[in-house]
Amino acid sequence: MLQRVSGLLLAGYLFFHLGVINLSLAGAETFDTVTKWVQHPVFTVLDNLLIALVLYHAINGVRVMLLETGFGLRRQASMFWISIAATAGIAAYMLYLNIPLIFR
Amino acid sequence: MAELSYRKYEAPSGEFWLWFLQRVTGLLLIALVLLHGWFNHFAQIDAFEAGLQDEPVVFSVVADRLTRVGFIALDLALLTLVLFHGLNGVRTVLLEWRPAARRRRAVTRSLIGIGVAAWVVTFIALVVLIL
Amino acid sequence: MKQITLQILRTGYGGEDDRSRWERFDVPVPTGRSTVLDALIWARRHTDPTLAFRNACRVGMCGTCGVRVDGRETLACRTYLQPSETSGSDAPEIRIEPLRILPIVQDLITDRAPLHAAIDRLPGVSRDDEPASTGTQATDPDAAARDCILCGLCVSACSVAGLNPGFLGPAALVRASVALDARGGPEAAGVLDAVGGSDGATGCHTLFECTAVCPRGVAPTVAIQRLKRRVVKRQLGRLLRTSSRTGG
Ligand code: SF4
Ligand code: FES
Repeated sequence: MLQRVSGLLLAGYLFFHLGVINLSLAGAETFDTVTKWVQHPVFTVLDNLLIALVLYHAINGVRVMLLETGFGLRRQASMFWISIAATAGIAAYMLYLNIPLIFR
Repeated sequence: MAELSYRKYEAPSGEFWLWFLQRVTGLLLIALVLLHGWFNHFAQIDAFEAGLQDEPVVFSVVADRLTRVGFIALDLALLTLVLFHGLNGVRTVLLEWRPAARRRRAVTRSLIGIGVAAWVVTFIALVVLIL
Repeated sequence: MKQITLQILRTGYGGEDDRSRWERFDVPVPTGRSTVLDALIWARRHTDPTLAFRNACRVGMCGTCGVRVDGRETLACRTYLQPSETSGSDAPEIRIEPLRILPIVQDLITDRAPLHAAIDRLPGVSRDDEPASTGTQATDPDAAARDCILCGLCVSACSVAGLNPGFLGPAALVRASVALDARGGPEAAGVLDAVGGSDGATGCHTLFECTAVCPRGVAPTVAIQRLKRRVVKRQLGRLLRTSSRTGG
């Protein structure tokens, strides 16, 4: 069920992203205004959330596809926790990379 | 008659292909999104930190990239796949609530409409920028 | 004597708005091997003869006594009570509800017709050719699928079945899988076409809810993933054949 929630959120973000990028591509000045805006720490934090969401959706998707092709059906509980751990691990690393961008 | 059609139930194979393509596009998107994130954010941030550019994101770099065929192809593929994957996912979620047959078709049509519109608008923005 | 309190969801008594209501039964528990079904039988005999539930074999073979105990699908005859010495309002309490998704006939009795109807939607699969138990489920997962007793616990536990009333459900999909093991050729193709859509195997979200409750160790999730792979093979083969026929 989380897969649908994260999927729907990402679909919503997709259109926001397309809209903003389309607008900002109008020229160098608009582009710069937009990029100034999104460099605000608040956006960096939101970006990290986005990364976590994408990671979760992708890794969980891979987990489901593995199960569907017959891998790990008998150990599905550990499959689930491995995917969660991988998501949390990579997301934490991304956050670590972005910390200087948040507090500058 | 009713009995016969009842037993001859067959799932429309279109539904199968949408399910199958959802998986295929999902796998492709993992690769494409990684590339996308790398070129648009981390590569530029690296350059910024190395002192090669004075802002983390620079218009000229983006514009320059978009003159190269590889990047244009990457962006178009990403656009197409992400719209399909996203809207097909939304459709699956909506249709699982089992709306009436008429509404189902309306859902599908409007999602296709949204997808095509978003694709065209973004395509035009890209073309304008490239030219 | 040890004692337990049953909170039973009772349905089908008309009244103002014909709503379900919880009713409390205090039941003595004579032995450590007493089951939920024993308690239900005691309550019907000593407290309320109109309490409606179904049972037959009492040993987990017929699949008629399925209910939900504290929210989890189970066979009443295979669920042991855990009473305590305390009695009265201090006695441990369990909630007993009918299965979900299947329509309620009365109290804990649900109508099994939807289970049969789902199997009838599979061309060439009869609910009468009930596969004989092989007793080998410990070593062979595919043989275990043949041990299904059509109790409906898996369907009640399934989120997808709860959301989409057209979904074939784990029990019927297990039947489809068993039928495919037994036959090949055009009949198999028909079954695969029937389970190929969002109402069939590809509608499954791989949540393992059915597998968690099955009293026979059938693992419907495993059977359904095998169906998915077969559907993929069939559809890809179809595509290749049509494209080679059109010379493309
Ligand atoms: S698969 Fe298991 S839970 Fe489902 S109907 Fe058969 S025996 Fe019952
Ligand atoms: S009474 Fe037969 S399975 Fe419980």
